[in-house]
Amino acid sequence: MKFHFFHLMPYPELPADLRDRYRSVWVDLPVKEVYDPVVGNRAYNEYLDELEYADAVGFDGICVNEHHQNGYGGMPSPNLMAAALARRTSSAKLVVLGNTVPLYNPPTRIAEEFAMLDVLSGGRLVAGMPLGSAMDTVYAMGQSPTTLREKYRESVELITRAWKADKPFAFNGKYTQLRYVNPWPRPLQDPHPPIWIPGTGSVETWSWCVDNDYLYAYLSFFGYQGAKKMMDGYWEVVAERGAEINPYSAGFVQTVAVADSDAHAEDLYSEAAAYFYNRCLYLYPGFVAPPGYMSAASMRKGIEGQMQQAAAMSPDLTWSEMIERGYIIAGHPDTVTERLDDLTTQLNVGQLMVLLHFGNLPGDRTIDNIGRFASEVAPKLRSKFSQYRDRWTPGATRSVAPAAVGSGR
Amino acid sequence: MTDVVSHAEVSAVRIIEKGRGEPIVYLHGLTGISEADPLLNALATRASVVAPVAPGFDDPNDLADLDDVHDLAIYYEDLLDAHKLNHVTVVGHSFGGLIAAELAAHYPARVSKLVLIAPLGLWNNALGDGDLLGHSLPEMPGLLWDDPSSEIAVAASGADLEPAAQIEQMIAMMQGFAAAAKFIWPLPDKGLAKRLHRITAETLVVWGANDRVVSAEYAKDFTTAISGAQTAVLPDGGHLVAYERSAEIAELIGEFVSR
Repeated sequence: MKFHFFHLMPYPELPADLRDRYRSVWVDLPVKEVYDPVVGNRAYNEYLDELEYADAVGFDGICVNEHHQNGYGGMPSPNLMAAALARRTSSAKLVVLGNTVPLYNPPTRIAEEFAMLDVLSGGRLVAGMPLGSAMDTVYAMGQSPTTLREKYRESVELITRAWKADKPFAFNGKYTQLRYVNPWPRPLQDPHPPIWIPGTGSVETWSWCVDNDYLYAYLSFFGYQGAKKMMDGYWEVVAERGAEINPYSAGFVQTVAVADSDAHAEDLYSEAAAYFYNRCLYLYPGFVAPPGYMSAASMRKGIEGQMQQAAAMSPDLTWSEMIERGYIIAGHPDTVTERLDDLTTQLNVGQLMVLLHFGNLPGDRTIDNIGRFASEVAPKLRSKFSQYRDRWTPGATRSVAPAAVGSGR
Repeated sequence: MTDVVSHAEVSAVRIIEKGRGEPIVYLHGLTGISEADPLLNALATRASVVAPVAPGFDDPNDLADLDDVHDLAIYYEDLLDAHKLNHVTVVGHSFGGLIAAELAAHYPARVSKLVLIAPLGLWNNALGDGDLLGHSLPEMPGLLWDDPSSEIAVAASGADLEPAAQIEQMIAMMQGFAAAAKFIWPLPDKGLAKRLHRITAETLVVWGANDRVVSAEYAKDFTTAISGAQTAVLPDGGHLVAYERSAEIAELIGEFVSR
């Protein structure tokens, strides 16, 4: 098993009456009214400390991601954070999950920046390439929902071709035309870092990932029971196409909270969990699935992305409901271990991304959660799936340069 | 008068033809078109109506080679050629109004008279619009209809359909909106404001007084830019005024065309 510490970097001081005063945490939540840069300064630095700490205590990877105009995820540019982390960490892989592909113009900017991160970090980069949420792409950044997927696929093709080509080439795409494709630098991992695709609930993504050997990551905050339908769909496609059923080709995100006892977990974490589900995921339904964003095939299959689920969620979710439904796995290390064992078996997922900071969880509790997960949970599951070869996380770090100066802690 | 109904495949376009008399090209709005379309039928009592299904409404793949409003204008000019309509009255509602205006601005000689019913295609900072894509499905009737509890609005909602048929209706609606979105997102003016002056057709602009998608105040933006254009604002009409006030609009058009 591989363990990756996933950080969303939410804004930690969303107003308690957010739901009464505004219609959404995303897109049109007025930045001048709600965002205090002094709070942001403290939060960014604490969050980077937490990611660095996860490296120090032995996580396989540390994850950052991209979102725009919102209080849910505070990194419009995850590459800036990954660059800071490249200098302050030494062994964890840098899982950028990822660069929202349709928003980079031309897309070869992703080839350049990811290559910079890979070279800088000594080959530790995981190159995540999501389509992006509708809030980010359509509403915040003005992309057409009708052509978004086509533009996305074309752009990923351009980026990977740029990394693999032996010579500069011309690219005559529908969305990008370039006379000379020859991005510098090139990645340290040859020909390129592993590519992870966070699925947004589209059935077409499965076969595309399998055929291109991309890792398929299902990002849901609604528990593994609900995610089973999606992951079963993925594994069916893997089998249909005769590819290897390898748990390391699949990723899943789970919110986890470790405590002395199951009851103690509620004391420590329930407030932050409520903040996460009631404020960070407070989405206006009119922003989650614009026409053209979901394919007819996905709609017929009744598939909903995580954002559609969030928008439809009840605001009065209790801690026990979150636990029961598996939204959060919390409690004594044995409880957590047992449920994660079940989760990874049920979904057959070898890349477990754990959200150990969520909502407005204070820094000291987050550090504690990270430390306890690393020392009391991860070791018990570490050997699971060891019979498989993981081709989707970067291999041994190249000792081309000291990866960090005065590294981390 | 006998209705003549036929379907023609012209470069894979599904076209509904109905009625007899002088031809009128009718370009439907965001919710697509069927043979039961009230304005189509009201117009067909006095004219020979040619109503093509807009690209993407039946099949998203039909949009593959239509990247912008210029491609769209060329596509519709081809369609006029295929039907040997050299100089014809064009009526367009909502998204169809945008197409009609672009067609008349790109090819002024092809359009004899132009009727724009709650057309999309302009953006006025002072007016804004209702944001067609920024609503959840349950909110849509309230955005589109003047009175979402009216008989015609309730019938169109598909509330009495079987669940599977409801999903298909929703997919069809999403498909139509997605097709329009390709040409109106994030803001609907793709240069029409600077082309409107090219229109030579006699023009009638019709609006529902209670349009919550594009306010009736936009009528002025069209009539100011199109030389000699007239306006008719109908009370008790929302953005789907072509359905809500179809008989009156057909009457207005009949009068306008025969002048």
